[in-house]
Amino acid sequence: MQSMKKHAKIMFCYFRLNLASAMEYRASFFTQAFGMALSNSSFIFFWWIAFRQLGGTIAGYSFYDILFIWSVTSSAFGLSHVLFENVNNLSQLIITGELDTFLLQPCNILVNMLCARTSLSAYGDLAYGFVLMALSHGADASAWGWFLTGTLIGGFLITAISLTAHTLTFYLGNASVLGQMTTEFVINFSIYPDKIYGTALRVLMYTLIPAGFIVHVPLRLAREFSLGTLALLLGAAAVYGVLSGLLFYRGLRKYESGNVIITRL
Amino acid sequence: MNAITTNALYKSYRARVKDEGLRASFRSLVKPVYREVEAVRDINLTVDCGEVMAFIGPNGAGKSTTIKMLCGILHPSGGEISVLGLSPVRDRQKLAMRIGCVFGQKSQLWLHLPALDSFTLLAAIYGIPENEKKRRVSELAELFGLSEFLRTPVRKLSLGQRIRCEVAASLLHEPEILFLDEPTIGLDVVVKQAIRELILRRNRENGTTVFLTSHDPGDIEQLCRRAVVIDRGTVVLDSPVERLKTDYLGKKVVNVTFRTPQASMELAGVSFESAGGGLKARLTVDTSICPIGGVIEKLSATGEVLDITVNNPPMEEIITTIFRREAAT
Amino acid sequence: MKTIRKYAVIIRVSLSNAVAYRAGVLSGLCFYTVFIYVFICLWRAIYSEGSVRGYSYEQIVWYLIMTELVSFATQYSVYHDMNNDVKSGAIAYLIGRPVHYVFYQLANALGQIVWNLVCFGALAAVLGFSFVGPLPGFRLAALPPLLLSMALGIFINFFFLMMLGLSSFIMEDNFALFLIYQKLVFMLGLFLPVEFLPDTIQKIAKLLPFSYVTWAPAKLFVDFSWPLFWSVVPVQIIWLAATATLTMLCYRGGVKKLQVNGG
Repeated sequence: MQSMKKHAKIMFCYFRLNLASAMEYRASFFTQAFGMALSNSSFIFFWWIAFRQLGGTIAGYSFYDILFIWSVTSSAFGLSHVLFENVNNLSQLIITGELDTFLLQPCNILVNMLCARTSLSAYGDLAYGFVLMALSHGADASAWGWFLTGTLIGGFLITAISLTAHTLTFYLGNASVLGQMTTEFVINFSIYPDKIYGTALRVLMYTLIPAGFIVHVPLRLAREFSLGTLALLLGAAAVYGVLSGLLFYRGLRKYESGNVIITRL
Repeated sequence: MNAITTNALYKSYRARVKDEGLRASFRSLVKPVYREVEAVRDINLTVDCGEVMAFIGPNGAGKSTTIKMLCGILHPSGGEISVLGLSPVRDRQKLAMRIGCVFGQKSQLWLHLPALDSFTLLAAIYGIPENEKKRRVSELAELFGLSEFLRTPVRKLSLGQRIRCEVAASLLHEPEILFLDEPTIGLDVVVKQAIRELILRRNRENGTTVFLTSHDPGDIEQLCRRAVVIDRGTVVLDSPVERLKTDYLGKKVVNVTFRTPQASMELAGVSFESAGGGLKARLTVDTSICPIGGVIEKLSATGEVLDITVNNPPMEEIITTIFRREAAT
Repeated sequence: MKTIRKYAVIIRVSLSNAVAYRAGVLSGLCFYTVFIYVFICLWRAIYSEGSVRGYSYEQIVWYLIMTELVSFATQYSVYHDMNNDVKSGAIAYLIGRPVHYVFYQLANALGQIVWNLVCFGALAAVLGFSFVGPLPGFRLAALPPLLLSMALGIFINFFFLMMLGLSSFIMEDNFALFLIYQKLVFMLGLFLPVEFLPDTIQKIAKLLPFSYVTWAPAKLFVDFSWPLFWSVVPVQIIWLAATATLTMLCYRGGVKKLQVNGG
């Protein structure tokens, strides 16, 4: 319990320091936030046109459903990158040996490493989701509840997915490109109705790259609550989180044995 | 209880060997070829609490590997290791609370923020309460002379100021052992001296054990009482620094370029090697017999000196000499 | 003649440079494949509910393949390079070189563009054939006018990017402008055919240059007809002339500012 308190304090301290450090770049923050809002809005524009021409639903999703999954994706992505941005740096840390700095400190290595960086533009993503929700779903309390659920679980899952991808650096060498591609997949799985994809990809998005649990399951729960589905959502997130953590610790043992070095003749 | 005890410490790791090119990459993926690298072979070391010890060796000798094992970030392949009575592998986090590290390229300070903010984070990580942290920071600031730039972003500090903050940061949680890896590299003489004095003072006043690796003879000479020389994974020499000084560090190498060829110079304690037809000379001076000032005077008196440099014998040379000598005995 | 030979050399150098830099193209090919695949899934879902006036499903897929091809083939680095040149002050002596700065950038980009077209074009053909089969109604005779339209679209895009790059003479941070341009091209032809837009927006779009970068060549590709050709290509030519002229004016203005202020 005391350890949890200590780690909570450490996380909060990182949060404060990250924000202060990122303020150095606040000039470009506004351009980045603007750019991101513009990008996202052009997709929303597309969907507005599509629904206007076709009406009804596309792959079972209405225009409001699309707005919901966009909001959750944006905020979940934002949350993950505000709190745990350093996961995207993990491959570099492993290769350069900078991971050692974190290992030398009396703190849980995952907490210490993940929280050490933030992305200023991610604050924009986080805010955008809330703004979009407000504009599209007004005061619909149920929708907001599932939006927040999706954001929290989504932020957690996005971090876990990136962690898994970058953990492969322990085993295969520089996996930072894989990490980037995985993020692409997660985004593409999350911003379109899940049924547009074939069976193989749908299996993928509910197992290895569980983007389905970030937006689509919360949407189903928002439409029609079911205790079973909720249990599935929480269970899947927990299981995936634990597995990704275990994979990381296993890789870390390899790192600590010094067997992660690949030399060239 | 000893600060550090190791017994037959051994570290080998498998390095995957891979050729250049795409085809080799595929081949390596399917059928990897490994090479066994023995970084540390048989290190038996006992360090008492309060000792100031230098850990010297050429590059690739196994210094970093040993230190990493002592800190718990690398797991030994064999042998026993005990730091402050704890096993670095099993009790890494517990040990981390009681040791401090200053490692070359790895900084604990945040570049864009003042060092004070980094201290706040470290206080949270090491579980130091707010009041206690304030007290220690002001104490360290006074001791290390940090007060005037504690609130300046670290990236704006000079290297000397940054290193001072770095060392101070490593002492915030009042560790019992301080591991330093090349702490004075790149610093000018004045700052080097200041850092050495600060570390010595810490050792004297708080009994902090100091474990230092350095290529700088000045560091070893002025800071440490004991030197352990390691080469190719084993301890080659473990002796008081005094002996090192008299045997090896008491020498200076003088390189001279003359205007006209000069014959040999007769001076006690000086060996004269001529080259380039007498135009260049390399003098090895035993400064305990003949002070360097006398040599320079004698050379200047010839009136033929075009260029002169005075150097310590390089650490590599000292080590090689030591190794050869010890292997011979 | 000597001038043309000079530029020919620049193009050749940039082409061999592009061919050598494999990593960049490879990751681009991966992203292109992902995009096309996602679009195909999306439009398949859309087409099960309705359709776009005048486009069959196969045509829509090939349409998107073509717009993305033009987009990926085009060099966005000209914007970044120019920005850096101006910001760093290097532009001061780059202007003094015995090659006209604007044409140098054009020649330099051409090498990369040609190589991109070859690589992404091959990939585009493979993806199109694998996913939806051959484009119905496509005739080889339509290829030359199509290539002309593509080239015009690419050059219009190029001159816009040049102008954006040159805007760093007067603006500290022109990234927002760049994004706005990108999104306008995206919304007015890249991601969906102009015919899909509501009528009023459609009319406005056809008066603006942005649709003529991707929509014009893509439409010609999937539904070639000489009347269509004569209705879009002259407009492309007009916009090309306009953007080229504007770019030269911006350039002259920038140079003058440089000579007055000294960088």
